[in-house]
Amino acid sequence: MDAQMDWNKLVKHLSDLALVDLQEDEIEPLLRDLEKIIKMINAVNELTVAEDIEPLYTTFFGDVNLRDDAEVGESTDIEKVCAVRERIENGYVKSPRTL
Amino acid sequence: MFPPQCSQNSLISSLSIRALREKVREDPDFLFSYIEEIYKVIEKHEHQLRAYITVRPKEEVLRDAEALLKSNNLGPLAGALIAVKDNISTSGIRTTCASRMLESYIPPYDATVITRIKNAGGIIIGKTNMDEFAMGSTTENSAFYPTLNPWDLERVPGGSSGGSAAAVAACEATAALGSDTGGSIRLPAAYTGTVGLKPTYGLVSRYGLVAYASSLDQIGPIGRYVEDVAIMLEVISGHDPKDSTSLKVAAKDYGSYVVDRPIKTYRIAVIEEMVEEGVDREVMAVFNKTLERLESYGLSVEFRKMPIIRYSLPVYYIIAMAEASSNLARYDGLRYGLAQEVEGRLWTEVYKRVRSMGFGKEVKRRILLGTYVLSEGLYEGYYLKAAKVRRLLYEEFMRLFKEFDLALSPTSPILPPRLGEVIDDPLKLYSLDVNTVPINLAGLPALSVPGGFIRGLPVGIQVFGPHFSEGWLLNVARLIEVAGK
Repeated sequence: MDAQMDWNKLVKHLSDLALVDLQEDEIEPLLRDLEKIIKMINAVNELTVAEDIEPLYTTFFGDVNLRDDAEVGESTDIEKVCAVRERIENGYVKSPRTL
Repeated sequence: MFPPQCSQNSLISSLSIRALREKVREDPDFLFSYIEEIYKVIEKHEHQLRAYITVRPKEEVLRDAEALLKSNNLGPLAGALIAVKDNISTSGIRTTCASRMLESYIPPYDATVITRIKNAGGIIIGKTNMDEFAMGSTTENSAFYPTLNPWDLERVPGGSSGGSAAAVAACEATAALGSDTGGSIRLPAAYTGTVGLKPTYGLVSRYGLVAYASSLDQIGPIGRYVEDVAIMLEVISGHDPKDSTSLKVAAKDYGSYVVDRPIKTYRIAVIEEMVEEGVDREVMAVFNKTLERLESYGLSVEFRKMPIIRYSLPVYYIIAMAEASSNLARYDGLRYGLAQEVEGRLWTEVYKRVRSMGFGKEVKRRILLGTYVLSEGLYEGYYLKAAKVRRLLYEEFMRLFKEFDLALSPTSPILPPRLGEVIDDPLKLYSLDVNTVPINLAGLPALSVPGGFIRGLPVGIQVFGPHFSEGWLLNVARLIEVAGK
C-alpha cells in the first residue's frame, strides 16, 4: 500500500514538473506502466561503469556548422509565416496575456 | 512480391523510380496515366489501410506534373509520387505529427529533404500516418487512427513510419520518406515487405523534421526496391548549412552499388545476442537461409558476442525519453500547439491544460519518464549512466567494424503483431525495437530488406555497418533481394 502511495506521489510530482495535467482515468494505467518501465530502465544499474568514461551525448563528430552573424540570403516570406498564426497585428505575432 | 492492393494493373502501379523516369522521358504524357493509376489504388484501398493523414487532391498533383513536364526537370525522381511522413515540414501542406497538438498546423516552409525531392523531379502525393510524434512501433499511437498492414489487415504495419511503409507496399505511392529514432523506418519496412534505410547520423539534413530525440533522429527513404532506396538516398543526402549537425560530405552515387554481385568479399558479423532469446523460430529460419545465400556468394559469416548490447533497450529509452521531454517542452499553446482562450489565466495553468488536451497517452508517458530520469538526484544514475554506457556500446561497434565490414540480424524478433496485441504492454511494445535501437545509439547506417515470407507475412533482414557504409549495405541488400526473387 505504501509503495502504491509513493507511485501516486511520484506521478503527481512528475506531472507538476513536466507541466502535463493528467485526467483521473489516465492515472491508474500510467502507474502500472511507469512501474514496469522504471524496472526495465533500472537494468543500467547492473553495470559498473568506470568514473573516467566520457559520456556520449551525440555521434556527430564533424565540425558544427556555425556561420557569421550576418544576413544569409533570402528568408521565409513574412506573410507566409504570419498566415500560420491566428493572432497577428501589424505583422507581429500577438501573444495572449497570461499571469 | 506485392500485397493484394498492388495486384490490379501492377505493371504500372508498382513501377520502380528508374522505370517510371525512363517511361516519362520517352513519353511525358505517361505521367498523367501513372498518376491516375496510383489515385485509383488510393480510392480503392485507402479507406481500409489508412496509410495517409493527408492525400493531396489529384487535380493539384496533376497540375504539379504539368509544371514539371513544362520545366523539363526530368531529374532522378522524374514524376515519382513521394509519400512523406507527417513529421516532415511541407510548405502549405498540413503537418500534424499525428497529434491533436498540431492538428491544424500548416508549415510555411519545406524541409531540406522536400526541397531536394522537388528539385529532383519528385512530386509530394501526401502526408502519412505515424505514431504520435514518432513515439511507437506499430502506428497505433496515432491520435487519428491506426494504419493497417497491407499483407494482413488484422496486423500492424510497424511504426513509427507505418503509414509511409504501408503506402509504398500497397502501391499508393512510388516511394516514401520516414524518420528513424530507434527503428521507425526499419521496423515498418520489415513488417510491410519494403526496403527502408536509416542513414549515418548527419548524412541527411534534419532541417524541417519535427524533433523527437535529436541525437538519434534521422530521415531516410522507404521503397519497394533496393535501387529506389539508393536513388532516394542520393537525392536527399549531403551537407546542409541549415542543420548544425549536418556532415560536410557530398552525396554519393549510391545507385552504382546496386549490382547483382558483391563488389567486395565482405566479412559479415552476426552478433549472438541479436539472434538469441526472444527471436521467433520461423524468423530465425528465414535469417539463417539469408546467411547461407550470402555465403554462397563467397562471403564469410562469423558469430561474435557483444554482451553490452543487452543494455541497448534501457539505454535507448532513457536517452530518447530525456531528449523528448526537453524537445516537447515547446508545445505550450502560446508559441506552439493548440491555441485556446487564455487571457488573464495563469501561464502554468494554460500550459498544463494544453498539454493535457493535445498529447496522447504514449507521449505523456515518455515526457513524464524523461522528466523522471533528468530530475535532481536521479540524473546521475539514469541519464549520465546511460550516456556512459552509450559510449561503451559505440566503442564496441567500432572494434567490431575493424574486424568486419558489415553485420546482419533479423530486423524484428517477431512477425508483425496483430492490432492491439502489444499496445497495452509497454515492455512488449518496446521490445520490438530490441535489434534496431543499438544502431541509432551509435549513429550507424542500417537498412531492412525483405528476406522471405512466412505464411504470407514478410520477414525483414537488417544489414548494418560502420559510418558511411551505405553503399555496401545497398549492395548486400540487393544480393538478398535477388535471392528472394
